[in-house]
Amino acid sequence: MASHKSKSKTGGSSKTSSSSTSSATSSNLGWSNMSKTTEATSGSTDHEKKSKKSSSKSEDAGGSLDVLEGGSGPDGAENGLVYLTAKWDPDDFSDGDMMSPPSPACIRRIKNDILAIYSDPPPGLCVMPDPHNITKIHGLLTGPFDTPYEGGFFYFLIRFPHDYPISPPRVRLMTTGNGTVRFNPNLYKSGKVCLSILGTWAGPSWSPAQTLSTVLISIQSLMNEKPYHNEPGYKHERTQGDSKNYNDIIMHETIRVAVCDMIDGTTRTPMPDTLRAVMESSFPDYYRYYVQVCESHMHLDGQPMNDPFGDSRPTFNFRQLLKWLKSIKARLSDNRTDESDSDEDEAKQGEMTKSFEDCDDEEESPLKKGAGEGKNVRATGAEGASSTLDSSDGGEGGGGNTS
Amino acid sequence: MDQNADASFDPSKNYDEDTLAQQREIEKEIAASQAMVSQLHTFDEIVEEYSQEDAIYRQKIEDLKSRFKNLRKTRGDGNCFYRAFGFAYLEKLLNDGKEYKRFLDIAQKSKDELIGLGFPQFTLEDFHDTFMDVVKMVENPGTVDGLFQAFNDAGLSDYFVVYLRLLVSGHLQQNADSYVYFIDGERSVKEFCSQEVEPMGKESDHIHIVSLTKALQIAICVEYMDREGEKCNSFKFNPFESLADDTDTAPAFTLLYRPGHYDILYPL
Repeated sequence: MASHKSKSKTGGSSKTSSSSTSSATSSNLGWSNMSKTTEATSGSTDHEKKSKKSSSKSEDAGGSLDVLEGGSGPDGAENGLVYLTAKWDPDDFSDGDMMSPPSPACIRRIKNDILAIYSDPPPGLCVMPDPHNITKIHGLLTGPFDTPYEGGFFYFLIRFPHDYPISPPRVRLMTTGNGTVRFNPNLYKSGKVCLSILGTWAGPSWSPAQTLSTVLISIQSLMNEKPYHNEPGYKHERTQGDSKNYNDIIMHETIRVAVCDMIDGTTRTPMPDTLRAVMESSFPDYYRYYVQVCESHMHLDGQPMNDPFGDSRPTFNFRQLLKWLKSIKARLSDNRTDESDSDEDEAKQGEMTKSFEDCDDEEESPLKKGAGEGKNVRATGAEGASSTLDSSDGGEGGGGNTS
Repeated sequence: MDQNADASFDPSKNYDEDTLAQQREIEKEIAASQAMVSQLHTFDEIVEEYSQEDAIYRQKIEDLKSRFKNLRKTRGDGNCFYRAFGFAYLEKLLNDGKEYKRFLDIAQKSKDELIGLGFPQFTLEDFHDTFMDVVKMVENPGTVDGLFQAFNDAGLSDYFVVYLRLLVSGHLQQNADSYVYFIDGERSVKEFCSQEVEPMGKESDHIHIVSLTKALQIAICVEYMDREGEKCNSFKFNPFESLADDTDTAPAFTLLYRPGHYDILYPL
């Protein structure tokens, strides 16, 4: 055990030197020409392909760890990123309780956890079970209001160990700009989420009476007004202005990576279409806010982001983000027009379009700040998820039944 | 532990993880080598755990030997008190139909009380259902062997432990005023429960035992085997009397406490 420990320490030091450069900069204005119509109607085969791609990619990573550390060793370094403990990673199958089939009790609990979120969705979060594996959950958290994460789309992959709920779920943040962006002292570039109830941080541990909802809400609470202070020992600013500076960085990166790159990047994270649709339908609601953030921060353009924790970051470029946002908006409303033509033909497609139209209407009116806005996002999230599951007439529901 | 640690301090890293990782390794080793509840052991087997030089412990084992016939070990995973308590009590109920009926009633009612305290209904019902399944094994099949298998089946045994933990938490929260002064650190009773009671693997202290015996109205006896004195100190937890030692209520069963661990004792 001692050797593991020292090995991981060594890995830790190499991390700083070899940590990735900010290659995924905001310069990327190209987007894939995959239209929204494809997104909305592509169905499960497309999704299957995507999720397979995602899991095989990460499994490779897990495999190399095994080779490095000899079997069950949880420590190891990959791409300069340190995995100290394997138990957090939803794609790590090195331990026994992921190999054995989940017990009926475990599956029952997982289903109940998901249903509890469907029936009473906490604001700004939306979950989707993987169509091929009930122990795997896709989650989308929207950055909470009045925080530097506002309007960002944070996609999480969650996996229940086969002794769930005795052991906590394993969670990975997928929105990391391909492993280049650390969004929070507790949200690592590697996707690791540091949270005591997940066993990845000191503090109150997981209790079996807690649920998926508890986990997601706890993660949401990491994304607070002043994330700088999440770092242990940084209760007070080391240098005056650090906390505000950190917030500026997070705001920039939220729009760059958790909005533009999530919706439009070339390195688009494979994720379920339903969650993608939730993002695209929420985008217009936030558009004015995004623009306002960019416009009020343009004076920072050209300056390097001085991360108070020494992370390497790109240079501020709010002008470019603004361009990117505009092009996304144009593309999304083009798609809307395209779909409007065909929505009389196909009922199912019409359902999707309807919800987009709802959002576009919203966009014309001035954005309501605060709670009302939150409700809107929550509603879209919940309906988006449930409408594909029970194929009910989700689009009509919100605005009062006319029929 | 590692000399290079300070030299290569990485601010993006949480060093508590090393401790956590190490802890998990230990847990894994324990799970592989110890049954959750063991078969009966004799004290001659137990005495071999201690070296010849360890006169105090050897003497105390002789003391136990004069009063108890066997010992049943539990896995040292931090849940030992609950597992020992559950197994020993259900084993006793095999031969006490009247007490079984009383307990069944308390156990049934406890569900709604806990839901009333704010535990999520669907999680609680899940644990309660499994808990009741195990309890009802006293009727059917109604054998020590049946209980033995259930307590060594992680799916049943762990759920049983979870429910006992929730009962302790529930009792503490319902009687927060009586317990708030016995909690270390500046924590509320609720915080204490979520940190020290509800999570699996959190060891039990005096306060946990008092709560569980009170919540279920069961008197038990614990033999403390420590380095003081010549004999084990026996301590009765009696929920029916305020003065625990001055009563003739017979304890339902006796546990052995060795620092950090509980096992079950069987009288001669």
